[in-house]
Amino acid sequence: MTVMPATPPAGVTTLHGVHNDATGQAGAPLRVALVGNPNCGKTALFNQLTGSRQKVANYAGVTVERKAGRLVTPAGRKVQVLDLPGTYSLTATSPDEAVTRDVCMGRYKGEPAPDLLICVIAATNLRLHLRFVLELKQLGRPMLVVLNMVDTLERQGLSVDVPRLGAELGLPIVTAVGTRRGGAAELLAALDQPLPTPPAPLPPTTDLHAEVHRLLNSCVTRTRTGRKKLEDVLDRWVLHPVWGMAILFVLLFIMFQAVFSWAQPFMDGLQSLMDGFGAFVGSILPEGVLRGLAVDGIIAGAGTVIVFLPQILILFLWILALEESGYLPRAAFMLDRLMASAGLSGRSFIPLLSSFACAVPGIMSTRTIQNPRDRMVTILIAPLMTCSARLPVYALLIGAFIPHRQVLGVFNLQGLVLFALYALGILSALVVARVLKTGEREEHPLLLELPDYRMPSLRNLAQELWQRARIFLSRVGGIIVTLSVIMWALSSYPAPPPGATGPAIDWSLAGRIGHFMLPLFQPIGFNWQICVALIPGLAAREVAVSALGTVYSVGAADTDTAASLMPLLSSQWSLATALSLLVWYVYAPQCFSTLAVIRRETASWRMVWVTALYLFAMAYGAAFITYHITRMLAG
Amino acid sequence: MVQVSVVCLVLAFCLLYWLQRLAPALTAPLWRGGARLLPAGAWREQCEQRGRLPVKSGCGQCNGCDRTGGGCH
Repeated sequence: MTVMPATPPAGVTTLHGVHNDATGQAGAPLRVALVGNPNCGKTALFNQLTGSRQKVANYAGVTVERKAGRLVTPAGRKVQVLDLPGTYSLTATSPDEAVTRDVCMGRYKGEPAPDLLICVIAATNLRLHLRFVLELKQLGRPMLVVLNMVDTLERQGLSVDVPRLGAELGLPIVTAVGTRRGGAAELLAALDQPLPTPPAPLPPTTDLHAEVHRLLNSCVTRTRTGRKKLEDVLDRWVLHPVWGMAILFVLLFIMFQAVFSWAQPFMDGLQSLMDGFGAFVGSILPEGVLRGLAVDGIIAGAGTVIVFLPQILILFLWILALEESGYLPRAAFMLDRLMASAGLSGRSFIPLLSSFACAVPGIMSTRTIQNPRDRMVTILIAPLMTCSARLPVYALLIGAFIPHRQVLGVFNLQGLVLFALYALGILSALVVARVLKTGEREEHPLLLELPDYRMPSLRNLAQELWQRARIFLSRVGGIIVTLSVIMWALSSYPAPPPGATGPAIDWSLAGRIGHFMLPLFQPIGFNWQICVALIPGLAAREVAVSALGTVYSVGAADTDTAASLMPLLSSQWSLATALSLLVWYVYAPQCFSTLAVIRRETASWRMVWVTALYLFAMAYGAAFITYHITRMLAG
Repeated sequence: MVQVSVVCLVLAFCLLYWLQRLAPALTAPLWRGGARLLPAGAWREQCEQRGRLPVKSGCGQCNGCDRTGGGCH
């Protein structure tokens, strides 16, 4: 297809180091936009240029919104860089592609067209990416081509005549390796040069595919074959209808086993640290409200959550390694048939997979789904994927009630239960999707680009894990500590009147709220302490754990309870109550952030209410069934 | 008495933190008032910044993205 050239930006000068924008305002930064096909390495380059830490992964559709960053070139030129969602063409079919189209064409609300389009193309997939370069060229705007991932050319047995390619395209071209430190040096140097003149558009009748073939024939030569064979062999197994599914199942299974088995020593270490810290603080502070706040409020609350950090990091280590390796799109391909049985396409897989980390980015990444109804259904079921915030709740209850023993001599029973909880969430999501798409017979074929396999870089993994640990610890330091303090105050005041009998906490505001809620939740086996913990759990799931820690610590006679919630729960709760709460958290209505992002992405309060109500109904129903069946079986 | 004061301060801070997260419009006048009291400097800038309500912009903040195939901009 062809695109009519747009009017070139007016008033753009090319002074070295100082840039005048269209309004003639001196000193305004040069505005450049990184555009290109999905998974060509735009965000990796963006991070290199701006020092930012935006998420990168080895699959298409990671960036779904426009991101901006700033940099100063070696010569002192100020540059504003836009990182745009990847798109295969300027004919947008999904909301994320529309953002790129509108920015490139200067139609994005409140934002003039960029001064320079930097078209990033991956050296590994020139046939597809060059087509987009030609389409972009038709816009007639100043443009620079970045040939990214040149380090993989040799491994693939390819050689590109870069100067000739630039000459044939009629565009300046530089090479880059977005994932390597200093890999964007040529691009930085190019940004110090005067703006290139806008390219002459191709005649409207040009066949872009034929033009790409011509460019490939004249500029790319194959030096040897080899690596592709290895990838083909891998794909024969990974994409096999039977073995592929088996590999996927085994990978996920090992992941959940690892969460419990590998993390245990680190968790024990953290638990001892928290115990020691609680005892130390308790010994140095005099008896009084301040000690109560520090030990029963902050340490009992935040301390019970912080010990789950190793499990969360191990879960993310697996997810990140799978993301970097290029396996995830293949898993999406394998699951396409399963998704189709639920009325969804494989395109829903990546948003649903992102939701295992957190439902917020998962729901945002539904922007890559073209069909509006598929997108809505995916948004509705994304909260059923078990987010990492639920892991502390699961781990606490599994640790307290499921014995730590081997099954068949190989499997960890606690890991098996965790796997079952994740599987329950996934199966429920598929059932809900099927119900929501009842009557729809239209099939949407999956068109998915499979990236090359890549060995995950240890440096990238370490950086990403560090980021995850920082996010978790900042949540503990912000959300969880502040809620623990509020929870402690609610559990401690008002104090019981003189001569009152019964536990003091029953007279507190938290105790009264818990008892008020009890009639609603008693049929599913919850006690008043759980009822109280459900409320702050709406802010973030893991806060339910810290709230339980605080409530039980304030209510306990001795202060050591702060660090030992697990044995306390196993002695005070029945197995039926614990399983009921576990099942509740598979479905329970989402945290406020998730509901807010549903409101933002759907522009509808109705969808927020629909989501919250259907999840509450499912949680209540499933917990009710679980509680009563367990009581019947356990006697 | 000192202990009670410290606990009250900590509690007030936590309540303000959540008010800021859940209803920034309610805390904006507080920040603006604080900024007026402070001398010019980094703290005042921080207060002024928090006193400004966030401006909605970008994809997803407008209506109808999904209904028009992403063509609302």
